[in-house]
Amino acid sequence: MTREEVFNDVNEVFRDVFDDESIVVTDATTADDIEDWDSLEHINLIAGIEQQFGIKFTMGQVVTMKNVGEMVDIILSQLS
Amino acid sequence: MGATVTSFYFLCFLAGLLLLYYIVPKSIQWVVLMAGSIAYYLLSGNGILIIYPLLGSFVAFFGAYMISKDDKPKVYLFLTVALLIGTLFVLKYVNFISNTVNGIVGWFNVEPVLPTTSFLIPLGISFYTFTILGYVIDVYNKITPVQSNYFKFLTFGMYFAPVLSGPIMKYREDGEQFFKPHKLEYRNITFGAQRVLWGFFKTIVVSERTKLIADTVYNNPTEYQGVFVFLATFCYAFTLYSNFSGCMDIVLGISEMFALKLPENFSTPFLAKNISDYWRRWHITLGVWMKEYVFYPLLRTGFFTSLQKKMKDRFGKKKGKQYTTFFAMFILWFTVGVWHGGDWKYVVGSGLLHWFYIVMGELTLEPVTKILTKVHIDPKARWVDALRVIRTFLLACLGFVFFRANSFNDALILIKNAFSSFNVSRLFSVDIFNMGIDPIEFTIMLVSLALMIFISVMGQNGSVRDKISKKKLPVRWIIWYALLFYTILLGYYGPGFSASEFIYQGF
Amino acid sequence: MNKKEILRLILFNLIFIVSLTLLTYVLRTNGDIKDIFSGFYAEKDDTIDVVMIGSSPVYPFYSSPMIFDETGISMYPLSSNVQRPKAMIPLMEETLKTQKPKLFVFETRMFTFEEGRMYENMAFARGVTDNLKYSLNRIKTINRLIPSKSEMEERMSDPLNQDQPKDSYEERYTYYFDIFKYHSNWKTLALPSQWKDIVYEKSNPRKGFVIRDEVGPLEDDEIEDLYLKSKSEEVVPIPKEQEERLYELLDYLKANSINALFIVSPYHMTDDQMEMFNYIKPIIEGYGFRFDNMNEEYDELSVDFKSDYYDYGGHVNTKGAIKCTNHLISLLKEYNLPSHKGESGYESFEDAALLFRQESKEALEKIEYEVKNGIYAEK
Repeated sequence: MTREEVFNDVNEVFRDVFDDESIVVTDATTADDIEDWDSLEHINLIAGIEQQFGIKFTMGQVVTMKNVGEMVDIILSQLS
Repeated sequence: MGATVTSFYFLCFLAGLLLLYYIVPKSIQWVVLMAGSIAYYLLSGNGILIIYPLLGSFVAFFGAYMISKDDKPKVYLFLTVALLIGTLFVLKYVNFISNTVNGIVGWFNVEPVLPTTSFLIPLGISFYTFTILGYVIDVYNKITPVQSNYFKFLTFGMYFAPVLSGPIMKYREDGEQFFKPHKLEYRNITFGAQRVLWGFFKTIVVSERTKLIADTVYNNPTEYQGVFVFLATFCYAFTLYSNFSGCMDIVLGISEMFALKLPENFSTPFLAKNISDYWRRWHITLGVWMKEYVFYPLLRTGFFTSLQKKMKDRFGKKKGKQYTTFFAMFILWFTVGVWHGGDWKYVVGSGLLHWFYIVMGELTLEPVTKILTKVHIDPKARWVDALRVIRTFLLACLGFVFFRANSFNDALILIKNAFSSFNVSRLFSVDIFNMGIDPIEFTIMLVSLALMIFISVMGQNGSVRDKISKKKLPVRWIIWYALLFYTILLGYYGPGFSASEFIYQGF
Repeated sequence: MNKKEILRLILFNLIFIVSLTLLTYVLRTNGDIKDIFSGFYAEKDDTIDVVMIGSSPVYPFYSSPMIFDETGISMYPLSSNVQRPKAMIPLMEETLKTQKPKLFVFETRMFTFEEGRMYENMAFARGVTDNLKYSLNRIKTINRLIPSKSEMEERMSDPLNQDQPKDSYEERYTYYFDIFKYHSNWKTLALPSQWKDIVYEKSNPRKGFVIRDEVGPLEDDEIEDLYLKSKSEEVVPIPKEQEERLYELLDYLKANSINALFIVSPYHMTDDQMEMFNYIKPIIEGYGFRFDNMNEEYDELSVDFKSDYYDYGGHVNTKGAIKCTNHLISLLKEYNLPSHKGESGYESFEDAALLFRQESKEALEKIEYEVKNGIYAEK
């Protein structure tokens, strides 16, 4: 999968989790940019991504990822 | 010496330590901090109790070391967490369980069945335990550098400024700076001292005054009704805020003077729009800790993932998800409540009540938005937000009633009294000055409170100290001298005043 | 940190310390004692020939303005309530910083008091320490006068003090930095009179004398007892600690060749106080100083316990003060002290004398009226 493909899938998960079709995420998107992205939804988001890509984040990754870019990097590293 | 960071002897100790810190070779600055922290702890209370943080830090250090080296990290994680939490639990909560069980059997007229014991509780155990525990778990999760020198780890774990009342630190973010060389910087010294001064203002000028009114009512719960209960509770909200956040200003200011940056613990919490928001602004480091080390791991356990799946099948995707998190949050908030102390008033006031608020908030979000749209009110309008802020403050105040009341029963009495007779007019009568504060003191309280709120709000758009530092020298000196002398003259300290206490030091 | 920044830091703190010092002077509790001490500091250097040191039986008893009026001798009292004998040497040293008195007069009533009993209210110690300007001597005075917490607790647990009210202990640092005590006086910042104390030099128009114009008489039987007591020639030692203080003081005077006069003001003595004065008399005279116990001389003084006292035998009103001052004048005459009448530099004494004439006249009239009508001071 290319980075772009991963990005598209991630974006789908975001729209699904936050119930908002207008969301467009970029590398720099953080929890501050999406209103509903609080600690509750963070875990749901993580679960959604894990399901989508069939991967498992470590607890460390869950708490340290700073933005969507980092998330995508982790996904890519796990996929390869 | 007394543990309070506003005491005269502490300030002398601080000045001495600061001097030493900047004259020793840079490579051993951390040793000065370690020695200072040990001395501080020894002088603060019952010296022998230092054995707890010393051993606790060692357990965390050794556990983390084994986790990083051994091939059975899970075993060591379990052992270390069990030891640290076990100590905290035994010291602080055994009586809670005994009292609760005895209370329940008491309803059936049965004599107490469990004995209560009294342990000498080491100062700050709830705070430093969380700080060092977070490190152990982070080592297990491989997201933090591992400290291989016990004494260095001790320097972090027992660092004197936050050891008694937080903020709860994270080694992965705040730890390594302790061991870097720190040059004496004008900005650190001045900005640090300014923040310490601001903390003094909040605690000895504001908090000690609002406290008088709160105490008058809360120590005589049967004698006050209606507006007075409200007034006292609002006063207590600001007592707790100015006391705790003022203490944090002092702790962070002191640290700044040592060129150390500690995490913020407050961000205008009374401007929160909802309770979740409130907890991202009040005692921030506790919220973050709970999220990272209790809430997330809980939700990612096999139990919860399968529960969520089942719930989704049964109630639909959205509701299923919601109900599962409500359940996890119940455990989270119970823990938060218990952390504040082994008493049901804390479990309810600082825990479950907030859980209830958040659940209700989530459940009513959609219907409320619908209704608002129907009556053509923009849910994002500023005045609606303002109402939300007021609502959130009132809800938080209800929690404070439990938090401050001398017992759970007192809290219930006060809540009942608050609505039994509501004499607003009496608020503007002389009665108000029979509440432990005369008209002049009352005015000073209001003026100081207004100043505190104004500056805190201003601080939301960038550091106020930064703004002041950009002014011309005479202007900024006048500002600082004014605050300095205002605090010196109007503060409650010295003979004739009972020494101020930091409320959160009891936890 | 560069040089400019260090300089700025030092300057900021310097301004702070200086203003805090001056502010503390303003905030120190206002009243007669503060006015006495700051008035003393306001006196021109080397103009005072007699300095009187002692406790409350000084400032209402002896009128410096009257002494000047009648003899031209310049006297000033350094007196505070329940002033412990321990404070005498520090107060002399404080005096010698700016004045070269030819004579020190010591009022010795407090030598009969148990030191421990005076700890019961440390506010009196503040009467001395917190009326001195900041200096090394002030620090030494505090070290000397203020017991440590354990010392204080030990004293107060003494059976002797069981019945005494117990102050809460005020830590020693609150004496060194008395802003800790007086910041709560901030309301006095509204009083212009207190701002005049900003450098702790505020001219005292009565030269340390305090006019009292109330009347508090003794009962007949009390007076009878007192006369009897004053005839006693028995001897009872003074408390051991005060005896040490007395010898320390006498040795100090000798070593520094300072001339001194010891007096006891007339008052309603209790317990063994007369006998104690009999005890110290030979000790003082042994050092070659004069000791004058006015309680032996009620008739010569023509003191009247029915109308000369404002607090029922403890301290005189102005009517009594004139008698005591007259007696003191007769004692001072033996020391060949110069008259400064008409001398330049003593204008303020001339003014004080005029003021005293006027105020004492009014006081005497009031006292006479109150005696006649039986209007007495509150007990």
